[in-house]
Amino acid sequence: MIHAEVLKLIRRRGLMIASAVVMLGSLLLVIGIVAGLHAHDPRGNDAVGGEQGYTAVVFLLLVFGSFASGMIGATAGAGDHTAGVFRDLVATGVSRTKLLAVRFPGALIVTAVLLAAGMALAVAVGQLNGPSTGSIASELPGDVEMAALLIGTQVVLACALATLFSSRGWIIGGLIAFQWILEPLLIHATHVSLREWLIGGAIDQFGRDDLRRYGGELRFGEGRALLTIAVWMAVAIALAAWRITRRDA
Amino acid sequence: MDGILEVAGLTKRYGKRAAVDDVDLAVPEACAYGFLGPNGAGKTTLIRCLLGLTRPTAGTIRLLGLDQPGGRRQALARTGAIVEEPRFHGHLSGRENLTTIAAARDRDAVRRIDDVLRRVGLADRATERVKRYSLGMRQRLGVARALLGDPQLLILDEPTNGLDPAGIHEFREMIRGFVENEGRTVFLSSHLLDEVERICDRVAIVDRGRVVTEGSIAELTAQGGSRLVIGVNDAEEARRLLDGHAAVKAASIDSGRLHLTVEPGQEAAAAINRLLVEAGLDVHQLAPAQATLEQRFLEITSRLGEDEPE
Repeated sequence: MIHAEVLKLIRRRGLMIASAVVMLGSLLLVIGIVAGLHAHDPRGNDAVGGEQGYTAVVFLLLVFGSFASGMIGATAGAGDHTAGVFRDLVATGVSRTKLLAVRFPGALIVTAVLLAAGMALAVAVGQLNGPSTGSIASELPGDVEMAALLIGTQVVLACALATLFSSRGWIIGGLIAFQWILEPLLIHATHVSLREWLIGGAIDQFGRDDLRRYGGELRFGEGRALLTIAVWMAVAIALAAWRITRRDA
Repeated sequence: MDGILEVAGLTKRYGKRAAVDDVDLAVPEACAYGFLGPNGAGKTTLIRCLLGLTRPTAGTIRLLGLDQPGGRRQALARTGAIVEEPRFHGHLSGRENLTTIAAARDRDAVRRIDDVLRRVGLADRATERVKRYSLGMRQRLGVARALLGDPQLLILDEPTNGLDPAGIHEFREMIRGFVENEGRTVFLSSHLLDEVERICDRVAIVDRGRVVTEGSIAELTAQGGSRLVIGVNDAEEARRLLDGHAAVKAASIDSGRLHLTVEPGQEAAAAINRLLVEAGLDVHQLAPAQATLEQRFLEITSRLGEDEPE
């Protein structure tokens, strides 16, 4: 069934092209621009490569990757409902929770391929000439872990919320609005005590300083951060499971 | 009750409205069973209850001898269904759509994909995206999907929608083949009375959520009294004269002839003939007629007498 979920996603040419463009094409564009600027004015603009270039590409991969993973997750969550085939799946006798459960690994597999390509691109850029303040080899495992956590939670959230609301477009837009408008406002509001329960801030705790979205503004322990992430995932998945088991197919 | 599909006291309410109201059914094995009713009668709602797509408000369901919903996984593994208009992922091919459903069934279902595509005549179009399929092709793909599990029971909701006459003929032959040659059971809901009469062995007629009558086609058409067809020079006048006659239960005009439902026996025919002739009408035909399922259906359901055929 997971293979079927992957098939449903990869056959969506528009989605795959859009995800690749957002997640990888944007990186190539930025790399091209930086390389062009350096070629035009080597003294005024750093070279695109080196550890600094690698870090910049990884940071952009996390930013653009969250958009693409939201698109893929939301499509996995709402696809069967919007196509009208959910009832035919239920009529096979397979449990509704199983129908929900297979959506997540399907979406994660597709996103992981794009993420792997993005990290490979970042490593390749790091091999080019450019400034270095650290070692790519020592940073890579932690960066992969951070990227997997960010992209993975985005996929799961988008998939669960799309299942809950049977909507793809609204969820993609809503996640973007939350993560790029509302959440930054809340995190920057230092008097708001609940900001440590925001998922973006929690994921930030797993990245090195150069990859943190919120810089040094919000710091707390990884244990607390994991708990925050787990609560968000559990609530989203529980709501999706509640909805899928109760709704008329 | 003892059958491959049994329903007792089944009720489904949406607010105060009962879409299915205290329905009892027993569908025997190796039978083509028609479930007839006008639009909004509750046919699709009942089918959705059978398949677990919606929860009944009350009542019990047994599929293939298994109580529902407890035995739904086992029962639905041997059940195939078409519910309303078949829907698919338009961006996937016919074969890929079947693959996604077969994945939810079992490995044998995956192995049957080529066979079911061949059976419904879509083998050479299987790799095309479904969004390019015609309505008839989608309907056939829906039948293929229903056959993936090698079902003992087929539940089909308006399955001939969108099929052309050749397609309907093929479908009819296929259903009869399922029942007579393969011993499967088919539960078919429709408002196409002619097709049901040709395909089905037994029929239940539903109106406003309730089963109002049930039986074999022969039993249903024999109910309701004897029928006469009268050819007369002024059918309207004849009907006016017979209005309120003790022997006449119902009268309608079709193609210029008067169709009567009368009390059984030869006395009614003789009395009617005498009345019309003495009134100066020319009676050139007076013959008994077998009621069609359509006539019985219209008599039984709430639309009796509202519309006259041209």
